[in-house]
Amino acid sequence: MMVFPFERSGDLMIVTAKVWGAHEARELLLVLDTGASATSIEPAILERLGYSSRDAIMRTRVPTPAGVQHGRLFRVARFYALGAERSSFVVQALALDDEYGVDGLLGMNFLENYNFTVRPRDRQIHLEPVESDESSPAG
Amino acid sequence: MDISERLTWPQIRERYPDQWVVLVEHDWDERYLSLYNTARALACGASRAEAIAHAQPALDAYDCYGCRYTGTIRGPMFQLKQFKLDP
Repeated sequence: MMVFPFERSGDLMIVTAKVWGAHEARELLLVLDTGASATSIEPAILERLGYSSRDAIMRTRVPTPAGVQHGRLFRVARFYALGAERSSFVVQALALDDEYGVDGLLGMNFLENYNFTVRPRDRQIHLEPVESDESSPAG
Repeated sequence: MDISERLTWPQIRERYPDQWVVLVEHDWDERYLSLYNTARALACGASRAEAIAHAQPALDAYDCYGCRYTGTIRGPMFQLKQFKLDP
């Protein structure tokens, strides 16, 4: 069992994470979002890490109140969050306005690898790794 | 701006209120690689892009950095999941 702290901002649960490119890494601030299928990161961050549109493995469409937003799926070299590191991890490049103040979302393609309990009052997430699902296309 | 001394996150928020701040030289926790106690502020700006532009070219010398907003974090993209009761 791993215990990981998180920050709260209003109703949002915020966790820190890291993503790596070929030569450098970037600290991230992500919203824990069990309603998001994919972990999403601001495109400018991925671009600076060296990922270009040519590296995209799929295009995505995300319905938002302002209309449909287009994103791209990338396989990043390394990704770290909640005490666990994933290599060749799939993330969605999805633009978020600066006004939100976060770099993206930590979605279910990461969280599905755990049984986890969120303890809002303690500001802790308790995680228990489980066998990864090899059939998952987004993991 | 010159690079700051080591600052905790509360100190960074106090010194650079409601700005995007480029952070470098984090003292990463050995157990949790995404956690740190202090970092140095390399540049700041009104937007993420402005802060990173201000950090150039010094930023290229670092192999890891963060760009964090010191104001209140909001989540309007989640409004589809939220609802109000009819009066």
